[in-house]
Amino acid sequence: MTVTAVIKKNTYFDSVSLMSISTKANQVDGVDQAFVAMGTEMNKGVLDNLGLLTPELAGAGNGDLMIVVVSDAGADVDAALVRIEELLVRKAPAGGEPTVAYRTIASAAEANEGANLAIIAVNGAYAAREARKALENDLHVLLFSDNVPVEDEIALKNLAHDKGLLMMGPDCGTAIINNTGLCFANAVRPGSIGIVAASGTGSQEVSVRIHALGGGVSQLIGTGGRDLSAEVGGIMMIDGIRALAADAGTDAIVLVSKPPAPEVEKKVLAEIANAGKPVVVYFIGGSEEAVTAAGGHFAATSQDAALQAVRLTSDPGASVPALDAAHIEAVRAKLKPEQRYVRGIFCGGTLCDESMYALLNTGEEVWSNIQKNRAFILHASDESRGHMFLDFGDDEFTNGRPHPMIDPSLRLERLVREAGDPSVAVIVLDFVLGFGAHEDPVGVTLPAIAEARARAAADGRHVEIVGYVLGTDLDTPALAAQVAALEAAGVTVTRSSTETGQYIRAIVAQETTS
Amino acid sequence: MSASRGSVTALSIDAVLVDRLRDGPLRGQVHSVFRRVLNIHTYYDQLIAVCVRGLDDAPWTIRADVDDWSDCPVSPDLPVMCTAEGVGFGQSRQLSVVFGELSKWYAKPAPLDLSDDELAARTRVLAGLLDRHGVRGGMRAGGPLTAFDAAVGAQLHHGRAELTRALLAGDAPAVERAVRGLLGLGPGLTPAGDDFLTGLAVVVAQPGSRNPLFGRIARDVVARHPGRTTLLSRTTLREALAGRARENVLDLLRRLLRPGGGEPAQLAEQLRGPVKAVVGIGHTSGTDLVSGVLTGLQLESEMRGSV
Repeated sequence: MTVTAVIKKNTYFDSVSLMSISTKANQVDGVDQAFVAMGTEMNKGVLDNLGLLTPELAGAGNGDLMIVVVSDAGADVDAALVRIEELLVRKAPAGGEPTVAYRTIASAAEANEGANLAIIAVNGAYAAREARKALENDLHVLLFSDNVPVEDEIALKNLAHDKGLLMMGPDCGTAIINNTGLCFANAVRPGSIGIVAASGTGSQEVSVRIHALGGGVSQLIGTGGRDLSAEVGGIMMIDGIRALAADAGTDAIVLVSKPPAPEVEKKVLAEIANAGKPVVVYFIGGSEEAVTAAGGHFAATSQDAALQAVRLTSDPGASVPALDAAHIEAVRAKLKPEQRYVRGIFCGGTLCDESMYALLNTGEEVWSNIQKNRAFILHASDESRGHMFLDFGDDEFTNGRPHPMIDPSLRLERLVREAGDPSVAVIVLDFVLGFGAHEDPVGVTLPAIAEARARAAADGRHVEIVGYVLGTDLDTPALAAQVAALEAAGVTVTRSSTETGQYIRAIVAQETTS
Repeated sequence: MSASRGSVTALSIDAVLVDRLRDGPLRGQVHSVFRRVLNIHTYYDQLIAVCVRGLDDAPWTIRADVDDWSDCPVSPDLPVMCTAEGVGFGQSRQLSVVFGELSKWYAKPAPLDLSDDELAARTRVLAGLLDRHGVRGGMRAGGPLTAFDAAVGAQLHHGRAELTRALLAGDAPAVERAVRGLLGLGPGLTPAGDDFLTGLAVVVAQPGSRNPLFGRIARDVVARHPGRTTLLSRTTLREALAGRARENVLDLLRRLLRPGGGEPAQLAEQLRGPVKAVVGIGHTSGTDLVSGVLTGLQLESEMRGSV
């Protein structure tokens, strides 16, 4: 007996359709029994009692559809699953713009002459198989899916390398190819700076900073978050550097990543000498000495990475404004002595990381759900304490819910709660604009901001709310309107992720040394 | 008429939703698209349904002058803006539902004003109708298809028995356990356990109910464990606990509990249509709802000591 499970995220069928699918699925050749049910706790409990709860099914959320197939030994499970998938497609609810559905990657490629890139966002269990088919059809791949085994990732990246193709991902959420944003990306000016990034919001931030400084982006190649691990060895980042080195439209290259494995960092930096173009390296917490020795331009922050790239390509005099010292002084004067702490409530992982590092670098103790120091890990259910930075996009918060860029409700509750804590001086929020994000992230947060301020004011306190909007004037909604709405609500709006860290550090430094 | 690109007129709307929209717009996204219902998930975790004219009014629902949504240019995740003037789907407003001269729907209560004997007699009438017209599956055993269906059926049966026993004994911890055991149990978008709880909730929320324990505990369980069931089901149950349910369910309850009404056989004849209207909801959902209503009435009778 073989148990095979498929999870369809946020998939809804009316009960009559579900019953019909379930009945027909049980008649498919090779299927001993098939169950189709929503992924509620009780239904998973029933499967557990039947000895059928696989780890994948255990991870299903209450809005996900679980398909469980119990098949005879030796049955063609793949064929049975294809048949059940067909039943689901046939019963899929109506609606939407007219679309053409292709049964296979090959038929999609054949029907779309000139298509040379496939975006794949299917269940992790099947993602590698689909990506392989795409590569075999000579398509570059952006693999949005996560939960792909690392062995598959290595095999796919080696196959892509051998065929001279890009294998972006798995778990790659951002790319800009030939001025077209894919998945989560911002509308930025075309230009001559190429980016290779192992971090989603990190690469978005660098691209919008380049745009704000007057520069433009030639290509943004995502690698997936695991590419610079010791296992994968930076295959895609090295191929990405080589691709941009060969690209006539790219004059400078920016590399973006969270801290890579040391041996991989060495390998990647060794490519700089062969690029034939300036390479700016922004590895959070990376070594300036190693980058400089390899012939690269070290960037300590995302803003610094963008600034150096723009200076190297289009505007040698590009600069960023200094912090507004008078504003900082005025804010400090409003805070009470017991208001010591910063509470960061973020959507973007790299934005959270960068602000958190700004405080960690001053020697402050910082609690976070993405802390590298396990002694300072804080979970979603824990009470707030000290300086605290939460990445609401982390799995712990998104389990069973949409990403906070789409559904901000948890973050809004937390904002109001933090404002009630008399030890809090600053609350930091980020807002991510662009393709794939919320249509009005600031608008939906304004009532909670007003409530938070009122709550603190009722206790006779000023709480400093800081907002950073990651976006450009070309995004929808436009950056200026979002910033204006925040400022009208009394929020201090910072101009970059880097400045956000610098600003909160300045406020807290005053409070701890006065 | 089907809904292609453009605008359609709303026919009726839940009065509670009208009040909410007076306070300001609600933004959200399309949650799911069915032939007869478009569901909108607002950013405040509320589900709003826009249904076709052939369906009945319901909490947080707008009925539109359209036969089906099959051709409508709307798909899941499309941004939606609901205002006091109407509902706009998509940034380019590829579909609008316009509020003109529409009627407001109120969830009219069905008071439990009957004498004890009369209530018991009406309960027996409903039991007979459910037996005749209810479908098999869900709360009603019958020909399970798979081991999963059989296991779910057994747990539903056990959960109902435990809940009934605990409510009659006034055993609050056991009531909570039983509610948690039923919440989210069953394969569908509104699992059978939830449909049953919804029917029961509608009864105990009516004026004159002597069963406050269930409502108090169920409200608490739903609030503390929102992730245990689907959004649609959670919204439906939450409203039912406030006495608000689909008009077909409330209509059945009002007719059943209306003073007078004649002999049981005559009443059964009058109620046949309303019972079939509710039983026709979904696959087993309607039957599970009536099962919950029946259990609620049986409990009321038991608590009055007349059965």
